[in-house]
Amino acid sequence: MKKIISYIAIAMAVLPACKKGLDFTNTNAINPANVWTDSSTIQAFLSDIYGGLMPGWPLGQGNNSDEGINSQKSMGNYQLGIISAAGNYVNLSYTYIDKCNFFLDQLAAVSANVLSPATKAQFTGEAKFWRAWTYWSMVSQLGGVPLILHTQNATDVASLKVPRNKTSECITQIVQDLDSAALLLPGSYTGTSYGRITSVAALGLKGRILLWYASPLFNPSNDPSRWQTAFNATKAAVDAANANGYGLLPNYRAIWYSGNMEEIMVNQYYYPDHYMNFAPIRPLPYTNGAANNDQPLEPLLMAYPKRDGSPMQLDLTQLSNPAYNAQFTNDFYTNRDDRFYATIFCGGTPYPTPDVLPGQPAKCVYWAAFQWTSASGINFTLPVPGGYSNIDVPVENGDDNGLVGFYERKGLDTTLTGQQIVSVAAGAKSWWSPMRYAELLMNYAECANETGSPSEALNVLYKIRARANITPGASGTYGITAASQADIRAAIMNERMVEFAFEGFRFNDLRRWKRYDILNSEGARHGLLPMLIYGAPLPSTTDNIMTASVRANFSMVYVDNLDGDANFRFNLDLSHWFYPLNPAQISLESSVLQQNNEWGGTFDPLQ
Amino acid sequence: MRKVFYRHPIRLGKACLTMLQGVSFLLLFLCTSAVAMPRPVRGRVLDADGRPLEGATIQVKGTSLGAKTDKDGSFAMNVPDNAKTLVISYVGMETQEVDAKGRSEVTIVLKTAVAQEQDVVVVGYVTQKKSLLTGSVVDMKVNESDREVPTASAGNLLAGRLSGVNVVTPSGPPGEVTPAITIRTATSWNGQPVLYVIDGKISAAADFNNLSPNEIASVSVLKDAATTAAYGSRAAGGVVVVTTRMGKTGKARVTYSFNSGYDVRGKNMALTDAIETGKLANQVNNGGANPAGPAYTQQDFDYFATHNFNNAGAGYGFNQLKIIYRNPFTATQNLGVEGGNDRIRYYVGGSYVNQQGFMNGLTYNKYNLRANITADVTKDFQLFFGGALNNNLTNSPNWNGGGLSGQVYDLYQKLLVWQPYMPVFTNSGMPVDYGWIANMGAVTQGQGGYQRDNYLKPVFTLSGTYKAPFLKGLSAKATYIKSYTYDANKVFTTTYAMYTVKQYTPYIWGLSDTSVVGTRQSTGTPGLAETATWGGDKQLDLQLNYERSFGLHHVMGTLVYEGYQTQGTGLNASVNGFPLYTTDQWWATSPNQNSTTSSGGVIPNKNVSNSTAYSDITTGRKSWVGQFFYDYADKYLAGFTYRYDGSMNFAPNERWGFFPSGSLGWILSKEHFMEKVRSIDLLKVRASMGLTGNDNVGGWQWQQSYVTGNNAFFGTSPSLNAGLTYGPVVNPNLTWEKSLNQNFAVDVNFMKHFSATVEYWHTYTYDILGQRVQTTPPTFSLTLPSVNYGKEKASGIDFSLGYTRRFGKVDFSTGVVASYGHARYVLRDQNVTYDYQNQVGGGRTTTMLTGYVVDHMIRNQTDLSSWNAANPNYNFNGNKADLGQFVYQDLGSQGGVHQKDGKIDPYDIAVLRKNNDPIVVGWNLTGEWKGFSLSATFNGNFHRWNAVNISGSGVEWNRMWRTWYTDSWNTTNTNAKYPRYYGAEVGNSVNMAGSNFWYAPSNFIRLKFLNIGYTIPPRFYKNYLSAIKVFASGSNLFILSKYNQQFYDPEMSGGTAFPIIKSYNMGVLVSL
Repeated sequence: MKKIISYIAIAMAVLPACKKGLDFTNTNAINPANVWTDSSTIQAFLSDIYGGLMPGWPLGQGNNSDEGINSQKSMGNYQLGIISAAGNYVNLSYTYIDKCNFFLDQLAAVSANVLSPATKAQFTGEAKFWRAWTYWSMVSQLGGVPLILHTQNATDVASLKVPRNKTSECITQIVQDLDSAALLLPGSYTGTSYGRITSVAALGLKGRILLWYASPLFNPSNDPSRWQTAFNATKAAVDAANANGYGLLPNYRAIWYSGNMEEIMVNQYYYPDHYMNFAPIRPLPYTNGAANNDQPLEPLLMAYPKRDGSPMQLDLTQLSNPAYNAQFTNDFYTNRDDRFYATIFCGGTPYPTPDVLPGQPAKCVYWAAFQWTSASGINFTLPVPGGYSNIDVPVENGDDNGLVGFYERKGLDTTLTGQQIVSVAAGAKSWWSPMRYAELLMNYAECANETGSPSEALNVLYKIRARANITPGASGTYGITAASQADIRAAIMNERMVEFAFEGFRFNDLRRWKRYDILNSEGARHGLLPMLIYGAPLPSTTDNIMTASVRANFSMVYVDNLDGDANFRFNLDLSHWFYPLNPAQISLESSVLQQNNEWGGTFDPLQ
Repeated sequence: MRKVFYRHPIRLGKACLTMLQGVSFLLLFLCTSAVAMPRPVRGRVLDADGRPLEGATIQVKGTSLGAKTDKDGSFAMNVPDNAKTLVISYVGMETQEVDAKGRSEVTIVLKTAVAQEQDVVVVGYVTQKKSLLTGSVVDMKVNESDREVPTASAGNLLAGRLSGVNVVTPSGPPGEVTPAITIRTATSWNGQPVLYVIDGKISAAADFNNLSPNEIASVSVLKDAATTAAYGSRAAGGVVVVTTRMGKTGKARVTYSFNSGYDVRGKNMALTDAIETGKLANQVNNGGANPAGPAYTQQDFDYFATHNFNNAGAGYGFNQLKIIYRNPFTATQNLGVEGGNDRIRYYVGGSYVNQQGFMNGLTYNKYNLRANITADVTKDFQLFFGGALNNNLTNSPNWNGGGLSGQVYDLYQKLLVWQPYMPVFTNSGMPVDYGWIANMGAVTQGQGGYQRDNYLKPVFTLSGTYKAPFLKGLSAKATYIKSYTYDANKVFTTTYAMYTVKQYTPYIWGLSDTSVVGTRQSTGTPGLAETATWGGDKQLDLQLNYERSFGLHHVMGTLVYEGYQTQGTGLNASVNGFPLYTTDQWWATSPNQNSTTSSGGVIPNKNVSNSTAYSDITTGRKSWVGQFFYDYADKYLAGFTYRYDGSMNFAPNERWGFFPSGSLGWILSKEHFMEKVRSIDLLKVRASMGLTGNDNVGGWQWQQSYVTGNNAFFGTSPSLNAGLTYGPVVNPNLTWEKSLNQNFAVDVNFMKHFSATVEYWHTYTYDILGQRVQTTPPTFSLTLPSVNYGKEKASGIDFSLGYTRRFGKVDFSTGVVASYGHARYVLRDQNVTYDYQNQVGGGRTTTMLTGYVVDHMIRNQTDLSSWNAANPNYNFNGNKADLGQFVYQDLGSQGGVHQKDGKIDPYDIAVLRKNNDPIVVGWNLTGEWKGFSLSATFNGNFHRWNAVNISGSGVEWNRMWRTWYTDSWNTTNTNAKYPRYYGAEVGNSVNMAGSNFWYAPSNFIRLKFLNIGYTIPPRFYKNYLSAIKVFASGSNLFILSKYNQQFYDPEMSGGTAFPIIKSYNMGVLVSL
């Protein structure tokens, strides 16, 4: 027995010694000590922020408003007026605020022998810009949010509870960051730094934000001082841009095909590291995966002026008159400004990529158009369910699910085929600009009009239209007849819709102006269809709708409701302009987070 | 110490004895039987060959008096004068009773027990007599009929056999999807994985499933802390201990069996045929108003009604799945040799399983080899060598640059519901371009290339046991186990032409060669890719055992040191393009680093992955284990087990934890007062309590780190700027979850043929790792580290009843097992935005179901008007009531207060069922008669609802759930059972919202396995062979379930998921 006990005792005695030997190394992470003593890892931390925040092409978002339609019945609940706090909320998202704060705090302590003062200043400016950008992305949707400007202390849980700041306080802070960034940042970059945030971008963002803050959404009482502040900021942005060599690129279509003077901010897509996939906006036979998003709706198709700047008009009652229709069709296809052709692909022309469709010997015209299925259609009693069908020459299957015969093509990489766009062996090049010089100009014009400088506003519109190759006309007004403040305002609204089509502006502008009524008055989503006249021969794959004799076989038809269902009509709620904060986030900290007053809460986003 | 008398217990046992007896007195004023006048009895105990048996127990029936035999098999003891019967027992022998009335000398010959192994069970690091168990262990011996069931996964064998063990029938291709095994009810929201121990080696679930039933001797499942505490920090989910076949002394026995059969897929939910699909699509899409998806016309319907494509039936259209489907097929060969003499025992065996999957090119080959050799090198030294090898070869066709394996689930579903008008091949067999990235027909022909996976795992065990000659009962054992894992995956991608055919209408496609209008290449880039990972682990166990009897006192103990280390690394590389000749070898791939695209871009042809999945990783653990058992006269039992565990998952100061357990047992039927209860053969009560842990939380959460982040792209010639960002906030105090488990059980054998066990268990788990939800507002983006704070408690009952009897020449046995358990959250942070989200309190269990409550369906305009008049504010998350829609009950609970506001929103979601834990049952049946044998296993679930999951066919251009066509609301069928189907483009947010309507009871009973065998009488072949048995077996042959009739098999994840496979199997077993 004693022996047993002694064995146990020996075993117990060696036990503590054997507690060692479990210290393994984590081979999948970087040791914290190595990060803030090395300029390249410091820059890498900033690169992560860029990578997470730089916006990309907003393909498919035309479906939110009257720009485009992705597919039938794709109208969102919000657009249908089906809204609820549980379904339409916006989240507070502090991921990048925290990263910016942490970066700024760490950067302050980095010594000069690690990072030169100039580089440190630039990095600080960039981080402040992105912090302002992130705050604005929340404030624009929710109004004031909790302002947090330094690294939060996770071990002091009580300190993490921060109440919502007033909207005005947030705007002040955002502007302060942008002012600071503008002072710290260079006006442009060359070489390997091209594409980083500049002082012009900081001033441009400040102008954009102050324009919003002066607009009806935030400024329903139309406080003129806000417009004045916005005017100063937007003017400063334009001046800074001019001083640093930015301007309107003479060729509108070319904006998205190189890094150029138009792009104040740029997200460069290239193969193989970061390529763009344009599949969503390609027509079905030319794509791979997604297809047919952002098919232009009638309001957008009509918004582009004629070559002489006069508005394109459509009298529905006259459409059944063959002579009127022929003239309209003629103007529609051949007499438009450059932006129309740069933004919209018309069925009946060759699709601007090298694709050769199955069964075709070579590149051919893609006839995304329609034909009557019975003679009754001649009477133009629309809608005629089942009364017409796609012709889609030369696609044999007769159905590409295209709704209107028009597609978005802005920025499309025209060198790739549908096979190549999603295969790993290709991928589109593109220069997406989340902020371009034309916007700075248009922001300035809007503020000028609201602060009693109509001529400055009109001058901007002339410049924008001149670049689109609209003829100045004898009066030099590029077809603009507006003179009163209200008319100029309307002209600016239309010009923004055209100039920035499918760039993510339209829906947000309507919200900023509190003009959902424009959509509601449109009712359903309207379409224009190029329709083969009953009895006319099918076009061949070498015919082109731009040819008068071919076009003569077609007439334009108006479809009141492309969704094919009377329930699908714009019916946006006109009493809710700010979004609700996610109820699930409020319940996390209901003691300090208030819901917006439009959604049953106590927070007033207008303060 | 040659003879030990009960009156001279040694000191060690005395304290325990006193304690135990004290307890006994308190409980039942007994143990006083030894008052009668004693008289001496002496004798010998021998085996059938006349050899003396040392250590046999002789007991006076109904008393605690007894003795053990010495090495001559002799014993001598004093018995009360009135003693009538002596009970003589010995491990591995049949217990015998002899008449002791007036006898002073007896000689007893014990017979070898028929099922010798039945009597001992592996309990952690020691083996214990089953009768002495104090913990909760269920076990099964794997016999020949188990080895004949058609399964490639060992886990399936456990289904329906063991109480408290739930095995979910896998719905998926065999070899790819393994059964999910759970033991009792989980008590942590993090999941408590079952720990597998195979011949002493701590292993993973995959290692268990990769075993062949042919090499398994027995499986013990440890359920309570008394038994699992030996595995400490990994034992909270229960432990499955597997012992492989070790060989038996005796003449070499060679067995060979071959069995083969085919598999038939079980039922999916009913789907629409082509015509029904078209009619439903027209109905949903408003008559197919162009330019919506074009309407099906009468011409289309006539076409399908008059065509029977690929024998799918007229009207059904093209059955994509059927065209490429083949019935899976399995063939198994097992070979085993076992035998030995008094110095060496061996088992050497191998098995080969060949499975052909449901599509061409889908194959699974599994090889298992095992050699277990035990040698008594000297009188005191025993050597064991075990070598095991598992090799799994998986082949599958390739599509879109990847293999099918792993995606077969999705693919099966996709093909099942595929648009019924799309052909796979033209009449001449060319693959049709049906507008997808691939043609599945071409894929199954191998035109897209292949994926091959080769998994190889050898395990070697070397172990030596030394019996200390200087101290009886003491032995030392050292075991070293080394395993190697190698896994190589090769993907060969080729592309092929798909033929675009003319479409006469959108739904009538040309099938003749003349209707081909063009070709299109399948997606993917030709090339080769190979991923290889390799690694291994090593385990060293140093063990000290002591077992000895001192009179009626019997002690057994073990001390173990266990060290474990695992390491791994890997590489993933690919090359695109075959410039000259396409073959699946590296030499043929592109020699260029890059190639230029037509758009001028530069493509790297060669790629090596920089994923952390291929880093060098080393991790390890160390543990100290002790297990101690004591019994007095096989009647009063006690046990104590601990493990002192160190895991690298935690920071150095939190690394070590102590997990103790204790247990007591009392066999009442051996008491005097029970003697008169004739119908009770055995009555035993036992109780245990102990602590186990769960360290299944990722490593390094305690250590600060930076990780790769988003990339940015700068430069006039843009290039990638790699990003870096901080890792999660760390928790230096991270530690294991602890489970305090209690187990109370009664075992009873009665009326000679029955045996039953009832166990009640209760587990309290604390320090559950989780996020402190309430402490971080949404303005703090970093996730606070998980901390050990949560608490859960669970309890349940396991029940088993067995019946064994011989009727004439029929040997018959049957058994029922049943178990039930539920868990509740005691402390869990929650963000309760809506009342239904509250999971704590109010009788709610971890399985509660929530949803809206349907009031009724709006069937017609009158209904709608009256509803709107009565409920003017009504809307469902913004949607007004409409025809064919459900309207829901306005339960409006906010902070427990009912607030009816007329609107239905998440405040109106109710708890539909507080407890959805199943009662798991099993029923086994075996019988033998004159060479015929039958065994059957049923398993089932009761008291559980399933969510009806019909979403697999959720778009109307595919085949749909047929009930949408036959019995859903439309203007001509307003009395339908199901609501209106709205179509994929609109969505069905009102009707398809989670509600009580979409839950149904899913009770079922399944015939899991059936085996019928016949041993051909040996007289025909006894000169050559010792036995020939033929058998037929099957698995999942039928299911009794209302849910199955109404929807689909309740063990499937959804109506269009890969179904449960039924297997039919025939085979022959030959013994030399």
